[in-house]
Amino acid sequence: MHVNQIASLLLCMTLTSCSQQNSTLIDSEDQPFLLWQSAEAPPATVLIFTRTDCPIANRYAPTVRSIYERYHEHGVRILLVYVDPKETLSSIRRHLDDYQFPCHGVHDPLHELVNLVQATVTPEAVVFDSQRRIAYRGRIDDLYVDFGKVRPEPTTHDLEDALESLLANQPVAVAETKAVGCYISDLN
Amino acid sequence: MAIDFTTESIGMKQIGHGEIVSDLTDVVRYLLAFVLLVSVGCTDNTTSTVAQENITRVGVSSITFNRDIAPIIFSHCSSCHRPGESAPFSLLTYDDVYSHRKQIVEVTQSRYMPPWPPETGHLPFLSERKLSVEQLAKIAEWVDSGAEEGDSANLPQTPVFTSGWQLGEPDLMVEMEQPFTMPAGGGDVFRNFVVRVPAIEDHYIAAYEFRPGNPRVVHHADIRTDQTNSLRDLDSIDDEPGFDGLLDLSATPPGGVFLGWTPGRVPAQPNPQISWPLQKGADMVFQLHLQPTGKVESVKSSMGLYFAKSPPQKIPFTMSLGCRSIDIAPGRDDYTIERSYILPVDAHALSVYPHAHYLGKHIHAWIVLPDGTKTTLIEINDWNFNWQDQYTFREPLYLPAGTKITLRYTYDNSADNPRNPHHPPKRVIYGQRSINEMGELNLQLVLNNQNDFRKLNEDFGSFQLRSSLADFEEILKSDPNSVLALGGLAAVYISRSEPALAEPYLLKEIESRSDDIYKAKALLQLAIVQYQLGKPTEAEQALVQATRISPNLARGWFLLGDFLSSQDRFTEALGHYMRGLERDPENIFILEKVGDIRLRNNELPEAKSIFNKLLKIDPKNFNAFFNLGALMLREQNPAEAIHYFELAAESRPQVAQTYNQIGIARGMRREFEKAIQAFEKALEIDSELLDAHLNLAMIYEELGQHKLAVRHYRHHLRMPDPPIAATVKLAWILATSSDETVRAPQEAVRLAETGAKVTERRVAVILDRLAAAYAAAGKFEAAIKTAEEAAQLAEQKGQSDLAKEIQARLMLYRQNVPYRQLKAP
Repeated sequence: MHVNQIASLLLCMTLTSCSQQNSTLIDSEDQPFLLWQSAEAPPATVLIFTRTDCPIANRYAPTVRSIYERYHEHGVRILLVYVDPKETLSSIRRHLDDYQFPCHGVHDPLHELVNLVQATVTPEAVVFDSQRRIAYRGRIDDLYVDFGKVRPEPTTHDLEDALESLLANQPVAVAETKAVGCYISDLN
Repeated sequence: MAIDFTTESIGMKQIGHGEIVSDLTDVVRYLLAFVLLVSVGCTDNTTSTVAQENITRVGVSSITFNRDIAPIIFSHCSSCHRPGESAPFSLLTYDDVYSHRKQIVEVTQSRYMPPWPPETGHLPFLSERKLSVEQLAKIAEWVDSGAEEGDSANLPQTPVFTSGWQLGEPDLMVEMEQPFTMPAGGGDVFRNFVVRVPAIEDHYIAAYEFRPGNPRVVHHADIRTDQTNSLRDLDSIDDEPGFDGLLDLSATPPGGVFLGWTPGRVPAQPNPQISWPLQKGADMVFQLHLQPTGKVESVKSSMGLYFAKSPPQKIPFTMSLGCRSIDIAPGRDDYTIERSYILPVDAHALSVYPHAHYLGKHIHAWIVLPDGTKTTLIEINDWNFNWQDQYTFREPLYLPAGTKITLRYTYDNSADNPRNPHHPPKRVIYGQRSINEMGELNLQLVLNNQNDFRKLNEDFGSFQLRSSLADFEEILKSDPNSVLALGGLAAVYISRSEPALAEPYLLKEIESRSDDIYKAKALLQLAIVQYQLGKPTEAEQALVQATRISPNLARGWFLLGDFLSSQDRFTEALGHYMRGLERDPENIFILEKVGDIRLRNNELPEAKSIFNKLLKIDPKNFNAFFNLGALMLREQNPAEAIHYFELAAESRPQVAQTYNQIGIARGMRREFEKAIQAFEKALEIDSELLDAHLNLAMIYEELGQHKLAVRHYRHHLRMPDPPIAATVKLAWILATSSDETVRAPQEAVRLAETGAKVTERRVAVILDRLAAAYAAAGKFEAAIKTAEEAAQLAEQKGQSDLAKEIQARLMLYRQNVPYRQLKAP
């Protein structure tokens, strides 16, 4: 854990100074992807790490869609990060289409974004605030308790709560939760 | 062992500052490894295994995918984890498994995968998917040690799976008419789909394969049949195909055999012990449990059926032992139910299928043999509603008479149960919806013979009724308006033939029902009960109300029609049948009834068109053939009649009446030999078919074979209130036969006197026969007197030929000579 703390500290420092990267990340519109598009960051930036073949991530499609619809107009930026190196632009676009995702996706074959935020599973949500600090990380909601242990309905809505807080300039009550899903490290 | 510090290996990429930092962890890890290696190298020059174990193993392991892991994956995982099957990703290659390796370790260690909830260590089941402790350890070690691929020479062949129907082309395929659209989000869906089976003959089914159509969405299927066709009506409740909710008693496991499907289920090979009957006209019902995948999905399930050549060797019986008075308070984490039943006959158990919903926790069922031996049938410590299944014993389990079968289930309705559908926990009672709870043990039994089946059916039937009664009464204590309990109690009393006890519950159920369709069904039930209670006016009111509130209930019109027919109100009945046909134009049962009435009303062209329509829908429809034959007889066309009756006999060979009619038609064509054959065939099937006796008697009489004629007349006259014609005809032969061994004057007198009395001495020919009987008995005075009466009557009625005959006989009587028929040529 000590190592990770060093890493994140350095991360924070470098992120603020790193506004122009030479990135090889391409988004689903076939455009170069930049995590920070301008000097001023949006009120919240949400990265949702996903895979096309993860059933848990896929099951969240309607939820992600409704979150997008609700928060997009408040300036929140939501992106799906595809972590499987084997994806292609067309497979990502097909996936976005099949599951009717209104947001863009970005392919992260070398796990740059994954490593940037230390994402571990899919689906996992990482939320940056307007100061580019990680304000929330973890599950979208508590539908999944564990593999094979699914609630009939979620009882918490962690990602939404975090976004609400950020938009209201309040501190996020629960900054970190454990996400359940497929392991990203398995793709290394 | 060299550690490569080139930029690639520590992941330094030419991208930017941030990325270098992100690989700090990798750098540290490699540094640590290097340090450890160096330190070990300094202290110990040998490369012992002990030393190696102190190092994080990089690239050194005896476990490889190709040799050790692939066989496990191929045999335990690939059948579902391949394209087109239930699992969301494939596990067929090294890459597949590698890119899910940590997940695989976790889900196998937690026993979530492969899905096999029952505890091992009890009776073995077929197709057990559990991984052994050794296999689990192997997988974990393989991943820990770097998940090496290994030597390709060691890789076993990737399993080859049959595509398409696993048992070959089915004899018959049935499928959902319309696909069901499963929404992208929301919770699990439980929905029933009525699947029509094209009208065919009755068949025994030796094997079946259920194809979910969309195996990622369909999580589980229960398949039943509905011989009443009443569930079709529920299909129209909403716009989507199928209907949610309760599967009522009309849907049953066919012929006592459980049918179903779960992911990974391999269709069973034909088993002659438990082929099951598919009755012509019955519907199949697919009860599907569907899970959302995140996108809109389409589900169109189908089923392939493979015919058996003969009925099952043993007699299948489905035993469903359970509790319906479940009532779990919120917060209660140890609510327990227990039920037992003692078998009255020997049986074999083939499979066991426990059932509970989300709150089920511990499932345990066992048997205690008459000698006291206790054996667990099944035990599941962490019940998962999503993975319920039917488990087949590797060997059929012998259960001698006297075996006690017990189930004991525990439920957790606390907030700690992550599967609790209510948050916060709420009171949960019995019900078929997934938010309710159930507790059932379904045993697939086979019995040795019909006697045992009857005995068990009766005994278990009464047991069920008693348990149900107790359960429902229990429910009513806390829920006096529970429609489940009210309807349930009514059903119990109806099956016990106690309609008087059923009626009040039905009335209350109807009052409490808010759903029109179920209210209408209860009203139909009430109508039947009230009719049985001799309350025809109330019965009719109930029927009318039922069809009024649920006009789509074709069955309502059908029952209303039947009811009116039974009262001989055929015109009204016809009107109601026709309305039923408007809703369900191809309803075979209604069409048959309408055809019957048209024929009865002598509306022959209309009747003909109905029967031809029936034959279009159901090319072997017995009713249509038979009635067309009857119609031809009425049109004095015996040749055509014979043609149709023969088709009817082919369709249903065991109906005596068909052959009787053939005999009549033959008789009309004076083909007496063939007529006799037909009547004899009818009597072979049903020796008590009195019509056939009468017809035979008349033919034998025509042919002068009086002995046989008399025998058959006598048989025919065994019925209570026999028709006078036969009585008198017999009297005539007994009095006047030329064959003295046949003559029986006393009996003739008795019979003829009965005839005369019943007709109040107003039929000349009967009086004539009576006179002849008197003469045969030597009572000439009576003979003369009666004959004179007869002659007078005949004259009065203008029956001049008869009058002449009587006069001729009168002359003989005056000579004290009885009348004798001439000997037959």
